[in-house]
Amino acid sequence: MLSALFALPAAGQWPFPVPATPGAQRNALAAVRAEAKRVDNAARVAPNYGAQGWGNVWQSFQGLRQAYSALKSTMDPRQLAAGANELAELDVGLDIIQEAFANYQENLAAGQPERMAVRSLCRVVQEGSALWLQELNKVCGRLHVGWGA
Amino acid sequence: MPTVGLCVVLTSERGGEARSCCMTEVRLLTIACGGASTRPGLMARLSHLSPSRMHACFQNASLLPLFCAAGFAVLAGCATRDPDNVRPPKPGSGVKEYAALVAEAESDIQGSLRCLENIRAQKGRCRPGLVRDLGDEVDRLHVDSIRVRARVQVIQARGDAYLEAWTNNAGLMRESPLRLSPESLPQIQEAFSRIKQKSQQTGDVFRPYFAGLRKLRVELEKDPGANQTEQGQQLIQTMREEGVEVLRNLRALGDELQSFERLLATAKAAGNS
Repeated sequence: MLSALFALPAAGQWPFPVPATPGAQRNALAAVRAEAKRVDNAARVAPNYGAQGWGNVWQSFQGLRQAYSALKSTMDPRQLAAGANELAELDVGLDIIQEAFANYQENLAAGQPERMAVRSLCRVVQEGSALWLQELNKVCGRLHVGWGA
Repeated sequence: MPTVGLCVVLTSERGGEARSCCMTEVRLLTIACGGASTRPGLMARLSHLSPSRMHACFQNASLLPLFCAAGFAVLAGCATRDPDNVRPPKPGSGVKEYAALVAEAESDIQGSLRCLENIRAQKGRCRPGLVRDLGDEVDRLHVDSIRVRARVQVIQARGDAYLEAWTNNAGLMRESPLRLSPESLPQIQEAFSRIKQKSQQTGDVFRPYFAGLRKLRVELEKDPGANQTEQGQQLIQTMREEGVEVLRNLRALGDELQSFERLLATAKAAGNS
């Protein structure tokens, strides 16, 4: 099932280039925060839906990744250069959180009770995404993302 | 927040008392703009202007435009932030931050080892609470390790970019800027190479440890008596050994980071003298 979902197109950026203006950055950052909220909600309710629940968590997490990618496309070269290390760490942070989905599949295949597997997945994704968002907010503050008129 | 300067031009007032009252309020307003670094701080200072005194001042219509202008200046100063002044990280702050992440990781690994010890010491089948504790520990480790694992991976990929950021010395690798003494550069580069190496080693031993913990967790959730089987006991023993190895590597990495901090401080002192 995971490989079928991987086949879904996950656009890395909007179809049209986004201008690197403070207003565009504020909108993009707001979009990331909204997606993070969606992930939080999806992970909170998913254990109630058993095996089907994790699909919503997956979709919302991919939405978060896309929104973050769009945010980066609004940054100007100065911000990208100044924050290169931190942005790379945020990228990898998302990959590490996403490992939870592969772990979920492996654990199910190894015989872990479904209820426990879903709960574990949701907890990691929910708490991991919250931590990731905290780091993103710090980085955006330092890089002055969305500052100015 | 940029300091807002106020140019005060007094028009004639009707009474000397009104003039002294308004001068005080304008002075307070100027001080508030200059001193407060945040909007809440500014508002707290402005609240000291009593409403009755402000009302008395506004009775004098000639000063009303002045106060309006001052108000707009304050709000403009609060709203506009300089988007071009991207702050670089403080020199050495990256090392401190990494050292803090490594210390947190040590604490997390110690927690997981305590959990393993409790399971090993369990006589008979694992209590449900113990199995739940292990599950909690595994999930917590996944979340808590995100930042340090991200740092470990990206340091391998970006290497020298971290060295430049930590020393806040663009051009470190080519010429020696004036902040660090040139003689210290080879030492600093060598110390950073050790940090990179220790980071990789730590990542290499963490991965199988974490995978093993997940496996043990699944086995015990399937069958709480798995700790009694030979296979289960072997797995617990292996995990304990691997966990100790992860801890050893984290400590070595932490030591290298502390040495690097000291080296940086010494090199800067020598460069500034």
